[in-house]
Amino acid sequence: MKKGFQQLTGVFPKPYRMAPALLIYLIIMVLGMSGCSGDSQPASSITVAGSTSVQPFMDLLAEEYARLYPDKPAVNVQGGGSSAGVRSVLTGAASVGMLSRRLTSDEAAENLNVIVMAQDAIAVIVNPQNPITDISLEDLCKIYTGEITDWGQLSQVTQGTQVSTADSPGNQDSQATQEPAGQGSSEAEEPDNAEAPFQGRIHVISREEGSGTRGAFDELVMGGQEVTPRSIFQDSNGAIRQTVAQDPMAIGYISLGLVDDSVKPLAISGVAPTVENCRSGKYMLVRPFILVFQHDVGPEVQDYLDFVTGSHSREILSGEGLITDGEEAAR
Amino acid sequence: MSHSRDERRAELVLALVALVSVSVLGLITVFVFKEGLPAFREMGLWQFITGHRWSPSQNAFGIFPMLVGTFMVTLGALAIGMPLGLGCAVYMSEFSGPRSAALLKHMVELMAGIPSVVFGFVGLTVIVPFIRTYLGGPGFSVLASSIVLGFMILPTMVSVSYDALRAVPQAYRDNMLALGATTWQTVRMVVLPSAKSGILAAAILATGRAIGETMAVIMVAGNATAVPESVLDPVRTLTSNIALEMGYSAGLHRQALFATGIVLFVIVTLLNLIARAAIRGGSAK
Repeated sequence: MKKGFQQLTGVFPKPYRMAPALLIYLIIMVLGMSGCSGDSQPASSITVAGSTSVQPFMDLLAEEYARLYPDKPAVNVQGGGSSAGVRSVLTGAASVGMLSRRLTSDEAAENLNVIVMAQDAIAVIVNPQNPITDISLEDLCKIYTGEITDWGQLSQVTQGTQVSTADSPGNQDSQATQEPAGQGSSEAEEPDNAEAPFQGRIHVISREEGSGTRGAFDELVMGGQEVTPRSIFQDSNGAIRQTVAQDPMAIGYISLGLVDDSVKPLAISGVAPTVENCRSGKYMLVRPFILVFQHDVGPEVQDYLDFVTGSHSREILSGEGLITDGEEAAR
Repeated sequence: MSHSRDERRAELVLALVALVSVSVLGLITVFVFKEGLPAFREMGLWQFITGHRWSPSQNAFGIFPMLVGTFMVTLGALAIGMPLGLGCAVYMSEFSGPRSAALLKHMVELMAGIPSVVFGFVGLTVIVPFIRTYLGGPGFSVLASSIVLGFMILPTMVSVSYDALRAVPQAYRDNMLALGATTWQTVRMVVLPSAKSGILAAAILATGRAIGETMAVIMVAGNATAVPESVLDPVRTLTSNIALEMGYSAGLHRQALFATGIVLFVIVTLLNLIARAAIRGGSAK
């Protein structure tokens, strides 16, 4: 290795020998840079950019569009996040921007065209071994701020039935002695373990900062409060689902369309996360998937937007677990 | 005539290739610093490095927990990877026959070719649940990342220290053996001390690898932004911080991530300088 260095440095003391190479190199660099700034996207492709939550669904639609209409311009779908989606429409880098949240007041002031493509619900999930089936929005927020750290601390409403059945046979005295005993010797409690309140440190699992799902969760649940830094951060819906499926103490949140048998979605204050409850507006953790674009889009872009909002696309999207009907249908 | 023209042409092309390779480093450096320095100006270098709170949506950018996290995870990886790697190298170089040494070397090289996401996946499906079940905590932890990284740095550790051991002149060993020493005594008293600087270089290169690894760590570390209180707590490293959030970031958040890159760049550069000094110091003796 040392020899290699010496051979290499042997070239350097003679700068004039490198001059032609340097010249060619500089020319290539200059040409390359002018190439970067010069031409933009060819006119025969539509660029859609923005939320990475919408991106997989938009990819599906773009593929379908290319399959059905091979002679129409190709659709190029890019990520970047909701905010970047709006920005790229404003700067002209993309024709259509994707958002997985509502527009901010600044963004709304830009007077762009807005289409609600679909609604997506966020499901709060726990491990199937966890007896809890329901959680209040308040408790959920407290878990994520780190105020509630143990499953046993959850308000008695959710665990009330279990606590009362365990305690009702005994009198006041036994109730008082039961608690320390329960923690000391778990063997003695083994027979009625199923009836004891569910306890243990909560493993809070969240998405990383900037994710659309996280943004919607922050807005709908946290209300300006910060997610505890002790939370585990996973970078995809799938990773959160897998973690919760493995860990009995875990709680997480994912897109409703991605919930399967390996995890248990919680009802929020008694409202189960079903498509019907989302449609009727009872389930609160719902966020819109929004498309924005300039008023003067060309016919090619308009044609693609018509396809995206058409009935065939709706079928595809609802097949993927999104909610596609609502006030939008009137458009 | 044509011979010398060929010669010139080859030199030209190769010099061009060399320039391109080196200029990539230059471009990366310029780019990272250009993007990241405004963040230092905005919030102050000291505030950035010692701040405990990382919450980009609230404009809080402190990478102290990530610095501690990187340090803990790397140290843990070395604690696991160094004894294993050095032991393997000593066995290959001093004890095993040439055939099994060659076989082991091939297998270690094969290990270097395993993509980091595969290490991460094994960590996620085997090590994380194991820690959760038998040691407690959420499983995503300093310990899990240290174990995964410990195995990932093995190839570097083994091959560099093996080369260092092989570079010890055979005469040293022969003399020791002629004096009646056992193989283990020879290794302990002569071979290891002679190869000290090479082994140190191996450890430093392995450290660089551990600090730089991203994918596998994101999968098993848990990525919490608090300073871990035990090895069973989740942790975030500097590289994971960049990789996790770069996709969405904009404005000051983006600059803060590039600033994280600058900090990382400085750490890794310092390590490389130390490694080179160690190698030079060794060969001077």
